[in-house]
Amino acid sequence: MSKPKLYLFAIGGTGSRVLKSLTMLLASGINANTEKIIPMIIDTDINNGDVEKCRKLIQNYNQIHNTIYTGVPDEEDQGHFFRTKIMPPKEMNISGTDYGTLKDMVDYNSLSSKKLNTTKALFDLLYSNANKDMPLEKGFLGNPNVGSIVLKNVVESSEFKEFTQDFKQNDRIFIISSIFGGTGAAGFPLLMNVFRDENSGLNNKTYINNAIIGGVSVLPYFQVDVEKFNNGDSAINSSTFITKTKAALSYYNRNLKQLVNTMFYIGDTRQSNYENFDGGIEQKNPANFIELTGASSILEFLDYEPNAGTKEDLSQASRFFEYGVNQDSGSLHLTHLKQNDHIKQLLHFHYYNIYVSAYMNDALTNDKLAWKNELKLSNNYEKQAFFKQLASFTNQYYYRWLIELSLEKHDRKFLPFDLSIITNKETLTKDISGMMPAEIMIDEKKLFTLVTGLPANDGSNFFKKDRIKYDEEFSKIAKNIAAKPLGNKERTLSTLINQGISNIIDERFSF
Amino acid sequence: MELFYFLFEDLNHWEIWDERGYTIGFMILLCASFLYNVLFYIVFGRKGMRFSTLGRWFLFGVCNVFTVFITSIAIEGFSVFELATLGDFYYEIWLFAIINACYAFVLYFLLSLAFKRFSIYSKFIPVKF
Repeated sequence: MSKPKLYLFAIGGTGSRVLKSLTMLLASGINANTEKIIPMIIDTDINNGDVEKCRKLIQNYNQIHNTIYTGVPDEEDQGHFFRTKIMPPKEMNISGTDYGTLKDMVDYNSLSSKKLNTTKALFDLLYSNANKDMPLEKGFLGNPNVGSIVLKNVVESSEFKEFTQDFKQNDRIFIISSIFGGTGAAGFPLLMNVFRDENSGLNNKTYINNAIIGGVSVLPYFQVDVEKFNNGDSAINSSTFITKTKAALSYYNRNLKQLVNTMFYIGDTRQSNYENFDGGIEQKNPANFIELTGASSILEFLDYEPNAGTKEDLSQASRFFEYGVNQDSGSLHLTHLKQNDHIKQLLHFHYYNIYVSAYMNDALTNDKLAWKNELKLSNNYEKQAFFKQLASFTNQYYYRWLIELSLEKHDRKFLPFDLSIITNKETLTKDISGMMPAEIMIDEKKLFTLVTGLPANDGSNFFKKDRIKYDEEFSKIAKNIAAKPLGNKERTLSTLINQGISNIIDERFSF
Repeated sequence: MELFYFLFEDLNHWEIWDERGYTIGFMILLCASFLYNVLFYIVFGRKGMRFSTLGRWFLFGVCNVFTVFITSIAIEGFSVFELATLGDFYYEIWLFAIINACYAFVLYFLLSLAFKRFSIYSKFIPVKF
């Protein structure tokens, strides 16, 4: 059986941020048991800063993936950086601006004239005046009851129809949503009901009805400035998150338990403190460890009963999972993660990024460097698109992601690597555009202590100073790699770097 | 051998030069250049990248030049001509050593072209092909 495709529904701001963390995990080369991932972003807030960041990140990832792996069979180069195909996200963004308010959307004022008084009365019963007059352009601002009406339109969008047309037998569906907000909490049950509805009239209905569907529901993990809510500057009130979560969990338990095959619940009692924005371009919440665990749940879902093609093939109709760390610490390191392969890949990826940001440009401008000449890279390779794409991913996205994960505003930080090598950390944190590149300063000694709590083996003694030498390792293996029929120079270069860094990590770290 | 050292002619001691001087000088030149190439390309050039720069290659060439010069002076003066002190050395011995040293760099370069293929890290030094 060929690997299934994964349709990944990322709902709301949390959805986009989990997608961002997933992109980082996949960039590190962690194996995903899928032919490709097709992100489906659902957000009514089309200007949401988190969505925009996610869109750009995936675009950069795709440029690199396509340059290296176009035409490469799936089973080859497994475990290499950027190996899994992520399609450009399909955005089912219902523009709230088009609808105005909930009242406008349901044509509330004409309900009486249409003699729909009962509907109007029910509507009045379910929605407060604030709900009815709420502008929809920035999402549902923590009101899933509003979202449940508006999001119905997602199913009518052309992107959703494309999804149903492309859906094949054995493909899987995964839904990322937060349970405590508006868009995610409304979208998840709605999608589940549509997918499992035998009378839905969707294209490929049988395949979708029988598909293995998983989901991650993110429980409250941050709180926002309540003062802004009290002053009327924001409609989001984080003090209601827990109540909403309880209500939603109770609803899920009654109505969704039998529909979903694999469900991951992720949350944290140590919460982060974010600024209170009503969505829009300003809503750029920093990456959070919870989102990273949410992303790893997607990979776990893909490995869950890999031979099962439909829900009928599963050994259990539904299973529910939680994520735990070994130690309740305010600062988590790599060693706190439970998956060894994730630790190893993240470690590889960090050393790769260090090379790209601190050493690769010099290597590519060195005419006499053995590995560069063995690979027959042109003299101005450092000015060509591929290197620029690698550098951009590393300097604009990767380091920023690490910085965000380690911010003080998180009561539980994820600090896997020493970030003191980033010299413009403060400026990066304040940069709203998200496009400012990180600046790196690293010395040979620092290369041994990059990983928090996991120093690299250092063979230095009184007579000899040990060094981690990337170019030496690459040059050692370059001749053999250049001799392989890998197709294009970028794939050869990628193979060299993957293999070389793997050798360095094996030599320097013991797992 | 006199053809190789056509730039140099010592009519006063022609027989000695012809019998042993040229051959020994050439052997010094060959052995030293060979040794420095082995050191640069095989010993260091397969061990690590520390010496794999054009600057270091040039430095090895200069060392080769000095080695050939000093060895030529010493062996030709003390052994071939059996002179007791440096002060006794003929002007021609110094001239021969200088010419041999110049040849040393040329030979070092030519041997580099042959030896570089045996190296891992200095394979593209001094020229890329």
